[in-house]
Amino acid sequence: MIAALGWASGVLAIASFLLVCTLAARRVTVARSERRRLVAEERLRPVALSLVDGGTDGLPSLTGEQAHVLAAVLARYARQLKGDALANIALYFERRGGVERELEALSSRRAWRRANAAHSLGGMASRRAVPALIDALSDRDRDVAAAAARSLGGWARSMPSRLSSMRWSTAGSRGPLPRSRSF
Amino acid sequence: VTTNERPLILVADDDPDILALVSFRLERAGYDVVAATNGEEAVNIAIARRPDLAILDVMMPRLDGYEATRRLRQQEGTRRIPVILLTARVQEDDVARGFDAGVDDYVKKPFSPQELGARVQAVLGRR
Repeated sequence: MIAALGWASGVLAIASFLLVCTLAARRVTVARSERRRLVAEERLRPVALSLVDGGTDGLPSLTGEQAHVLAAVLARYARQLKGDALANIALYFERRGGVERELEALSSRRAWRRANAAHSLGGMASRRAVPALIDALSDRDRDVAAAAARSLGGWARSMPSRLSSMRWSTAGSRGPLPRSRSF
Repeated sequence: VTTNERPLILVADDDPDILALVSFRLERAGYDVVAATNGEEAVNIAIARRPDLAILDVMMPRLDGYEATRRLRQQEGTRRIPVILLTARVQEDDVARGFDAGVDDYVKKPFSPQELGARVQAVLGRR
């Protein structure tokens, strides 16, 4: 009995040690990836600022990870901007196929994917996403509907008149909308 | 106007994205920019550097945009520095509070860099 208890406590100690090691390794990995992201963001900030200002020429070729970081920076900028600067961001995402990709994901069977897409579209500022986001407001999953509402709500602050006129003209219709210079 | 002919603009915001967007636009438009990340730092920089114009966020740590403006207006050396508030708070009360504090103009967030540039130009032109 005592021997069994000794074994059990030994196993528990080893399991705890392994768990602590795993958590520490995970923390180091996350910190390293965060540092890498910050460095990449610092390097890509001038590119993002130039894109916002309408300078689409001379865009450097980007790795997948760099494109992801640039998209995240532009999505943050989109939530602070309106006017031509916002249209330039929309143009970038439309040209890179980001809007199409997320619109497709918005029809996914998986709710988490639809919610992610609804959130991402909010940072892309493309008018082409408005009908799909309006439809997503009545999604059966509350997270998806909430993400769509937040995205549309953010745009309502940037372009209230345009969005309110579109609400009625586009709801229920998925007809093509003009590309770029959206808002 | 500063000695090198490029007007110096103080931009204060605790959001690094806003600082980057505003600074980039203003530098492209031919201004020198000095940045602050809170109201207290903004006031200290204004006293030391005497910018030609200050663009202040309202919600900043340590000192908000209203109080920072008030302090600028109390100092002899900074009294005449025009102030533009860049803010998401544009209810009537907020606007009135800003003008009471001595603000010259408002720009609402989310903002258009073009509009901000035009307002900067207009406020500097009025001096």
